[in-house]
Amino acid sequence: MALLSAAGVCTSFVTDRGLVRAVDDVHIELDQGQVLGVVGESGSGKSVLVRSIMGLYRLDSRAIRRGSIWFDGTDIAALSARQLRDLWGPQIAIVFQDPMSALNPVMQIGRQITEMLRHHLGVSRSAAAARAVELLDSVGVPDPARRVREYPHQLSGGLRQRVAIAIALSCEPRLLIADEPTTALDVTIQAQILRLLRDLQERLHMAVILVSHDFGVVGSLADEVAVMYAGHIVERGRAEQVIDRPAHPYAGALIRSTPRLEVPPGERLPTIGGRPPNLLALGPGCPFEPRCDRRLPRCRDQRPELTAGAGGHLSACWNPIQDPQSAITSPDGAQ
Amino acid sequence: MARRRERKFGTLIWRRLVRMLITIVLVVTLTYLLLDLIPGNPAYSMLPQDQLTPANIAQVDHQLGLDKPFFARMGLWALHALQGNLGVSYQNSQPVASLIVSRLPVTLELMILAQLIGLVLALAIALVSVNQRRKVTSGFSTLFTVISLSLPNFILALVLVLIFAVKLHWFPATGFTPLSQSLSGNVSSMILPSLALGVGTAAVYAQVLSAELSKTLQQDFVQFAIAKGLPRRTVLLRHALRPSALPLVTLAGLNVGILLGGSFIIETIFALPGIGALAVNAIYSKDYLVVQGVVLFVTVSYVLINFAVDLLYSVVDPRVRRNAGAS
Amino acid sequence: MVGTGQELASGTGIVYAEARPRSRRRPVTLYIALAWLGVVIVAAVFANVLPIQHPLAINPAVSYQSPSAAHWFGTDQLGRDLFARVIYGARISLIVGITATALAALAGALLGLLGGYIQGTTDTTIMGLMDVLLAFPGIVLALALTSFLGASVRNVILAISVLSVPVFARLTRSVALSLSQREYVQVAKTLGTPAWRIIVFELGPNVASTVLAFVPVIVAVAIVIEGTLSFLGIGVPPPTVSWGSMIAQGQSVFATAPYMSLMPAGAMFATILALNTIGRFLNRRSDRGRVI
Repeated sequence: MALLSAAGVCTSFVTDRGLVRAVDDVHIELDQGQVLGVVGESGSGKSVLVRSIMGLYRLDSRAIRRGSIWFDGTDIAALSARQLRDLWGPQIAIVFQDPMSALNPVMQIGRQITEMLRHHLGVSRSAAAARAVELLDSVGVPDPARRVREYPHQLSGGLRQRVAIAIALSCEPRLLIADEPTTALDVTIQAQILRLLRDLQERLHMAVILVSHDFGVVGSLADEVAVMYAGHIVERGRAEQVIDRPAHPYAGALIRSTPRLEVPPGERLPTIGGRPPNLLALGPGCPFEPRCDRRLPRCRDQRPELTAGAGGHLSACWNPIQDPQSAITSPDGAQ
Repeated sequence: MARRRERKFGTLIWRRLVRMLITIVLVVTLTYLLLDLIPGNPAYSMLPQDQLTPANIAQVDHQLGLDKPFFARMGLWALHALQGNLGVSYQNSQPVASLIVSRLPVTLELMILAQLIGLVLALAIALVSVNQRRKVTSGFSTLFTVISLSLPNFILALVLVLIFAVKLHWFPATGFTPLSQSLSGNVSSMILPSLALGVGTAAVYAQVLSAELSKTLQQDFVQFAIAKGLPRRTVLLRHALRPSALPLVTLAGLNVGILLGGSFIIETIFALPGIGALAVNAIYSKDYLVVQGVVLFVTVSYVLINFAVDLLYSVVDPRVRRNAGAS
Repeated sequence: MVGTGQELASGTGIVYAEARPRSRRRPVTLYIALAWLGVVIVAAVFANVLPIQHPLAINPAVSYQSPSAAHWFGTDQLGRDLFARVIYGARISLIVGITATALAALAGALLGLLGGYIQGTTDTTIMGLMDVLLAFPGIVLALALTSFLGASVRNVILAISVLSVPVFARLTRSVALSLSQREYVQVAKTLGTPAWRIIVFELGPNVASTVLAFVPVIVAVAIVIEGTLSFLGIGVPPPTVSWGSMIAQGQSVFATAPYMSLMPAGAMFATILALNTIGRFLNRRSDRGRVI
């Protein structure tokens, strides 16, 4: 049985200017030990999606939620607030994008780890302290015994993110959600963190949902990839397939615009024309239609559903890309 | 880099110290000037009608130092004040300074209790008002704050006396039992007065604390704490409260002035033998030296307290420390 | 940042988020406050011609009467009608409050503008003086001034306005400081406009709205101080009717005739509450629409 099974997930927000459909009719399935990458630009709804899966919006009065989310055989919607909180930490853990703002600036790092252990696992103070040091060590923080007593501002960005990962892993969750874990970091540190995540995932056999706007980040870790646009999943399939043979024009354009070393210097970086979608005024048709260079008349009036394409994976497009060569300039998708 | 930071810090303190001293000097001057405000000769208002003989007038003049030129007067008075000599009470011939010192503990106790009540009550109100789920209690706490801010403390005092002393007979309406005599008696005689002062204080603190708390709760690290599965109470108390409470430190220092003023009225209403009642009674009996002495003492103390609070704040605020040491 | 989805995702206050911003609507309480204040002001202004009893008319036969049809608020120890006395008390409180605040606002604004515009030694001196005034705990200064000067309406107004000057001075100074940097002030300077014209015509109007937003709150504070002084017997002297002295007179018989103190206390409380409500509303609005 799948570890995570989410169907028809819709999350909308009531704002001054109207109803915003951040996530619209999304289906997700994940098995234990699988890594799912969710790719999309800012505003595509990927962050809202993963938070909805966790059930984080249960406590937010501004959010309107729909859909069923089953985690490990339990219906998330049926859980009480207390049961939900018991889920967060031991079962599902999340790593936020910016570790500097995610960590409590006036609390020692060790304490931020031990409070998880003590609350969820009932560990004694001394045992928790020892475990915190171990955890810091396992995520590659040098001199962990000293670091435990330090404050977040005393660490570099990369170290802070390692600490955030250590906190997330402290209760050995079945599912780890990493929401743009490397976006706020230098490129060199990015690689380190990704490698760390891969090691940990292999070792602990965790399911991971990795969110990013960068295909490169996702490509190195993910088994499956889902591409989001304006709150919808527009393409989904095995990572190699989506990256090598994208069917949806947006996915193709996104992959094309990823900077690569192989592209000769001086050549212009391809961009996606047009403007990001206005989530307040989405039409009845495909949300990508205004910017699509493959659009057909029917794209404006009717929204395409996810259907299996020639490449073997799912895409939501009336005019999907058939020829893989026209989509990318280099055959090598893996980083 | 650390040494330069320390040096900057040192000059900052030095500059504030100088400013404070200048303020004190000016305060002393102004306080002394009060005596000159009295229309006509003070002796005329101090002495009863049938004792207005030239000899008596001259004696009062001499006592108040009015027979010397202004700057000499003031200098002399300031000098004496530094030595702890604030003159002698006209009413009972006791040295003003010793009167003040003997009655200081009562006022201190009142103010400390009022601060405590204010802080504890404000904490409760802020925590309740932040919990949007329980609309009824959070509505009540907002109502309480709004009302308390507009209710003068002497009116509140009268209402408290009516309910708890006259109708319920729980506490005495007036009078003071010193700690040395009986702990329960002392508490009983101090509850209503400290409530009268503390409730208004709580309202002010609660407003600030609620606002700060709401702001802090929007921050990312609070949501991360929630996503860690920690219970609401832990997130509130352990994560959100500490950074939100910092502005209260300065506020508490500023509030000492309001409490000092309030003690004048509350001590009078409840017949507590504190500095405030001393001053008010001196005003009634035109004992100008006593009034002057109390005003001087109270104001200088207030200036010193605020200076200390300022210092404490800049040392304690981790944001200041953080900005200096950020990588 | 595109679309509101992302903002909401990262900025949503979970658990404690407010359902929607409340600042747009004008709360009902504001209208109630304005209405009450209107009633009080009208009653106070037209006290002489209102069909009420004389506030000083002594009638020992009807002393200590509970509120009734004949005496809406009851009578005091000398048989004087409390309703009339409360209205006349409103008169004094409003006169003292408004006058003291107006004086303080004018003096404070002038000092603040001078300091903020001219800066330098002038500024340091002015701010130093304000610091000294602020060093005195409020009521203490008012008590000291009225006790040494003598209790009278004039002295009470004087004492309260002296107390309130620093508030306005600081306020206008910060506005003046920031506005002095603005281009149109620099332009006026280079055109040779005399300083006083700049202060009055360029800086003045911008400062006015900020000052006005604070006026209701300061008037409320002035009324409290006046009430406190009169309560202690050091404020407005008899026979002038004041809420504070009325409350003091009713203190000894609070158990048997609570209306003597409660009527003026209630009127005072309601007026202060109304002023504070209006003041809070004005401050929220001026924060958003400020020129700065």
